[in-house]
Amino acid sequence: MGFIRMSSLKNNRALETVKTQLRLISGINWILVPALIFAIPFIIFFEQGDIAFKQSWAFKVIETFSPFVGILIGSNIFSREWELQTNEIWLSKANSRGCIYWSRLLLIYSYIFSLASLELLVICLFYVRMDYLEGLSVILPPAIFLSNLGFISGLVSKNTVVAYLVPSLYWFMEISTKGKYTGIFYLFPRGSLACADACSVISTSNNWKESKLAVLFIGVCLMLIGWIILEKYEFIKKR
Amino acid sequence: MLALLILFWITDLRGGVYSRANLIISETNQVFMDDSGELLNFSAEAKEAVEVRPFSYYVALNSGDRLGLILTLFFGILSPFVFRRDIQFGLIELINSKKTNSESYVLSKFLALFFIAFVFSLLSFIFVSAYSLYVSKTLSLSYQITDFILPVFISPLISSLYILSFTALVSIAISSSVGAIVILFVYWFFCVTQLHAISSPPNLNLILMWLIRFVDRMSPKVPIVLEENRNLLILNRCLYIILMIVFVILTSVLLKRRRDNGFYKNVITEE
Repeated sequence: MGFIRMSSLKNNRALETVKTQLRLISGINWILVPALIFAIPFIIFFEQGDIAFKQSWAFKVIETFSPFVGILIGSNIFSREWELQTNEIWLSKANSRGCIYWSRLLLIYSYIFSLASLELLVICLFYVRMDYLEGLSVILPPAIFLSNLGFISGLVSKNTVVAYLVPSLYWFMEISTKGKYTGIFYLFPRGSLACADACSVISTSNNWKESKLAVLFIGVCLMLIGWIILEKYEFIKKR
Repeated sequence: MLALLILFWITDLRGGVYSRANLIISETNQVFMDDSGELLNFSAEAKEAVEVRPFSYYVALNSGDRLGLILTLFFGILSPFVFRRDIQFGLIELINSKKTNSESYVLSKFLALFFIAFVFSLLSFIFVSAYSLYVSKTLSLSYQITDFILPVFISPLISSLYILSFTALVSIAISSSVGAIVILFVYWFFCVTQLHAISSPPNLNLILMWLIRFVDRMSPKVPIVLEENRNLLILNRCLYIILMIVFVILTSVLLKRRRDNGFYKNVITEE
């Protein structure tokens, strides 16, 4: 009986932490981001053609622009502590920061996942039928990677402008250099929208799944790096 | 920001200039199939294109297109924080206690931002024109520095100034810098997907494009199409200069009204 009560208390505390973190990190950007999610199906809707063309076009656009969601939601989750001047409060607490860190990540990933699902649903309903799992595997790895890159930049620089600029620039580099410097870690292997000089030079690569896995792997590595940085923050700050 | 811009010059613009030069000097044909299944010989088209206009003309259009994209993203992200920071950190109360009026406060902020935008555009212009000159000299290609002034310097500068004033106004109006960034991204997304705004016959929608996208492969048709769209392009740039002025005035009016209404007296640091 005591054990059940203890575990119930722990569950309540975990739920409370998640709720508190949700209140802290969700801002007006969380309310406005769905506008981007609905803008993407709206833009692709005007390109008509046969089913194969529509699917290819839809994949191109969602792969290229949906990772923005990761940047917009995830980038400021830690840097905002410095903006709001609340960093000293939670950095000075003796207990582990893991709870804060992982609950925030859990929240942003859940929101990114929900928005990606919603976007795919809208495209399936109003434009063309797409494989849901394939759609998610195209959107999520770059979105997670960019959000992690954003929050690490914010954590290190303590500046929200940098937190947004670094992943945005990385995204732009990937679009314009078409993976020349990143190789297998190219964010958009399934087809690029960067038609600046040679759209057709980049054909749809067959090994896009490996590329997405590699991006996801880097995303997970960044997540762990972020965790280490946060854990050692006091030490780094003193040094 | 300067470090990121330099990184962009090196990785993106430098590669763009070189890939165009390679298309001209390449001995082999580079044939690709476009989405409609038509075969395109990029190399042959590029060779024809440089007979019509100098190599620098095409490089300038391509670099200007990319510079516009990146500079508007830079300044669109930077400017919402310039005003919101004063409010978040409580500096607005200090400013309110001084005799500084809203107009001079807003104008001083904007002038500083405009100066940075000017410097960044100028530096990018110098980099692109100098590097293109180097490539042209090395590979004996035609070059004219005047080709760079409009697409690489003036056009991205106007876009940057416009987006600066737009995002600053939005951040003040909705009282959130991060919210302004989301709006910027949605706005930017609509613009970045307009790849064929410069078309033949001219499309009136071009007037409304705040970011001119010159994208096209090196082709002898490019100068003809641009000449057809010349008036619309001038109208477009004039419209955005006017809008920029309107946004600066609106920001000043909004800030003044809020100060007068006591909106910033009890500053809540949380957005």
